[in-house]
Amino acid sequence: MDDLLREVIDIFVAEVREQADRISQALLTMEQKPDTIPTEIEELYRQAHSMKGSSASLGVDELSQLAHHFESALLPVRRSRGQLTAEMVDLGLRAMDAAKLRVVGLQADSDVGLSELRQLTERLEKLSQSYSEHLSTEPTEKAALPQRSEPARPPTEEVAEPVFPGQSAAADSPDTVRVAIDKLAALVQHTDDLRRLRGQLERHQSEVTTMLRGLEKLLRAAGKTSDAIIKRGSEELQHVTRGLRALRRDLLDDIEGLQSTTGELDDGLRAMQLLPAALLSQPLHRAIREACRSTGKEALLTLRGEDVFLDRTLLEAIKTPLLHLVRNAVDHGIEDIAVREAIGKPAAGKIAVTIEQRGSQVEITIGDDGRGLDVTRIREVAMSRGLLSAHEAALLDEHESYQLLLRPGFSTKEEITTLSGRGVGLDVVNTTVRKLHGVLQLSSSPGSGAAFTISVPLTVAASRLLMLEEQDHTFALPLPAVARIALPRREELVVLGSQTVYYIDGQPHTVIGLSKLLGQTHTGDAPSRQPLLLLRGASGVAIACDRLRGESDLVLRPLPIELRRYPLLSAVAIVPSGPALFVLSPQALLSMAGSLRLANDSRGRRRTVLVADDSITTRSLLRSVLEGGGYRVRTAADGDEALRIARSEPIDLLVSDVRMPRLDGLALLHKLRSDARTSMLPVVLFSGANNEEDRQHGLAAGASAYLAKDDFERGQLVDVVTQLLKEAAS
Amino acid sequence: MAEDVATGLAEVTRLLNERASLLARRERGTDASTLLPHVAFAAAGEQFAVPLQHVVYASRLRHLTPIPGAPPYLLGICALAGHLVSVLDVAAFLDLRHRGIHDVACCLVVSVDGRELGLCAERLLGIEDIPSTAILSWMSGIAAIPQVATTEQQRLLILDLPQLLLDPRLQEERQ
Repeated sequence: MDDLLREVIDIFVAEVREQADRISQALLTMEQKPDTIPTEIEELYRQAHSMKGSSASLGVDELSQLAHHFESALLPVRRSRGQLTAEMVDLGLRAMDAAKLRVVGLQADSDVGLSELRQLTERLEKLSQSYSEHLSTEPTEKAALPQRSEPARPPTEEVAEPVFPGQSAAADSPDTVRVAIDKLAALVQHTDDLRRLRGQLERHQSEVTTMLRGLEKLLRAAGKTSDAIIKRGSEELQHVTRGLRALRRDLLDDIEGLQSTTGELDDGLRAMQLLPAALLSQPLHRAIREACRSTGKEALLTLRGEDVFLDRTLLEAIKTPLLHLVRNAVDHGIEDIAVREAIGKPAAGKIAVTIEQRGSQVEITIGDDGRGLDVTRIREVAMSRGLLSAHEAALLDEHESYQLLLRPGFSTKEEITTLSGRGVGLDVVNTTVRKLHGVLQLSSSPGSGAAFTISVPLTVAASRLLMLEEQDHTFALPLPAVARIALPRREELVVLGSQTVYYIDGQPHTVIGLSKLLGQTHTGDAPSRQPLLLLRGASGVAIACDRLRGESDLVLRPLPIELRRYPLLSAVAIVPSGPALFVLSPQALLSMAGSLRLANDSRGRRRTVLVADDSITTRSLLRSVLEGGGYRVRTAADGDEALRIARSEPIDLLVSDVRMPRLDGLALLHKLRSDARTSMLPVVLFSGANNEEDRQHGLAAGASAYLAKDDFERGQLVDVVTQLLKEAAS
Repeated sequence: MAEDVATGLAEVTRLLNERASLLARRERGTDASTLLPHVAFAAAGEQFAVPLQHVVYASRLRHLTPIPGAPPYLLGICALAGHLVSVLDVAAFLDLRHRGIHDVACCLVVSVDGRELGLCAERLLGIEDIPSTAILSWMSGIAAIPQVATTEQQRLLILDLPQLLLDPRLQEERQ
């Protein structure tokens, strides 16, 4: 590398990468929207021309040659004498990738990327020659290839290079400078150190205050004595006290000043690291284009929210998951062209990526208009891979079934393609989102498409955290992941067998202690008011901790390598006063809580069915049938007894006669529905009356199902009970 | 093509590391009589030493946050002067702990190729200039302690930190 290049290599690398990205974007836009060719081709030429000029002036001939032949190959398109073919776009994109790789090689003073670059230059040259032969009347641009002694400058009529919003401007702009990311990261680190320094100053200030209190006490005691020596000593003490007071004032001023400076530094550094989401456009277009070409499908991308600004780290981190999701959308979601046409859909599928800022969160939705997620197939695959038993699969609701797709190695695709089928894509997406303290949610409408929504904090540098305490240890949770906090009294928690349930808005939530999720045993008494956290994306689970310690804005640090194997931990936050604390992964907590709840439901406890009937024969018959179906059975001889049992024991479902002494079935049903503890209990009315009017009356009173004794079949009763319990679990 | 770029970057990083390591070897020299500075510390009734160039910070331990779900040899995590490290009980990790329970008072922050780790210590013994001739191979079967330095006063087990960090138990692999 010669000295001139060495001096500017970092800037040169950044510039070429930026130019290559813009050229790639222009190629993709022109291919997808031919009406944009007249404007996009000019942008493409400006970038290629700049690349050619700066490379030649630095003696990087291989790059200036590449840019030159690239320009020549695209000349027919620019002069409206030829069409932009897929071959041209392919070659152009590969050439730009090669340019980006080559500059990295240059940076390391190695030949990395050189041979690939030369091969592509030759192909571009051949392409441009073939056009030249066709267009023999057109002058070639060979003379335009600049030599090092004569650096190329853009023609004067060309407009100045536009500055992409939020991106660093051209290196030679007098008002802007390019800054390497690692230098910015170092500044962020120093701000962190400043914050810790502030914590130390606060401790010193507190120590000085304690000393002052001691001195003032001493002075008051000295004031009560007439001893001359003590009086002289107390005068000196007063002098020291005045000095300490001044020192305390200075310390307070310094703390405030430092607080204000670190705040401004934080804000400034964060703003410097923001980039527009539009930078995702090119890689997304490209991923879809390549996926379509390898599958023979057609799909169009629409990107909304390009003007949302994101933290640079977040933008980098989120790119790979997004690419996975759009490739998946093409491979799994969008149907083959023939299928789409047969069912009346347009041949080209639609993939919509929407980026929205919602408070301190960024929500990115990737939706398609394909076939949607097949819940039955997902459950079948889960069972065939031994992830679930048939019984467990039956207990899963739609949402929980979708979550199976996020398990490592899970794929419903029968064949492995270059795009998918290895079951790694969604796992990778989920893991990355979790590392960013975010949540991935899936939704689907069979036949109409699926949507994957990623919600992540806007910035990953500093986060608003909820501090909580469990077993004398403090943990943090990203505040945006917490949907709701409840503080029920102990008596409001309902113990059902091995489970504790709390009703929120009439919906039962299984309470799971944080210690249990962390694999520890909770010792000590539960607090009189139990803090419960409902996390976003949770269904029917509340996480209990010992105490809440308020909110705090803390800078997050990634976990040391050796701790990244613990999925419940997502980052470390450092409290200004010193200790490090772990930030827990909301997604991992939810996943763990879901598994515990499922295990509890399906293995830890047999479901209990209460049978209420005044006929001992019917009670015995139903007991026999239901126990045969795997259920534990409690019996009651009338409605009154049934009500008492349902209120005091863990009952999962009631099968009740209608006509009973003391309290009949309908009155029992009314009382159950009006009591929060039993309002959600599934109830099957098992009646001797077999007419439509009675059936409707029973269902209107709140029965979950109505069975007539005349039509009794063993299998049907067990089926109805199983189905209702499954629905209740969801 | 994106994969090509990634491969290229990995290749470039590898080349840069190789060069750095070559240069470092050249500077270090191989004179048999060289004094090799090490930081010595006591833990679990043993005395350990690590090459000085790997030590980036040493301090008393004020705060140690336990790691939920971690094995006993990972004592916790701490932040020392901007270094955020897991604190490893080397003796327990290498199965050398055999003399009861000891108080962890200090932490030595070591760094290998930019990766940092805290080593817990009961006492920091200071910087020892060990003559290279005093360093002998130690056939203990423990890969992370290939050498020992024996003087009249003490026996120092010399930790091979790159080897220690290669242990699968300290890798990223998810549970």
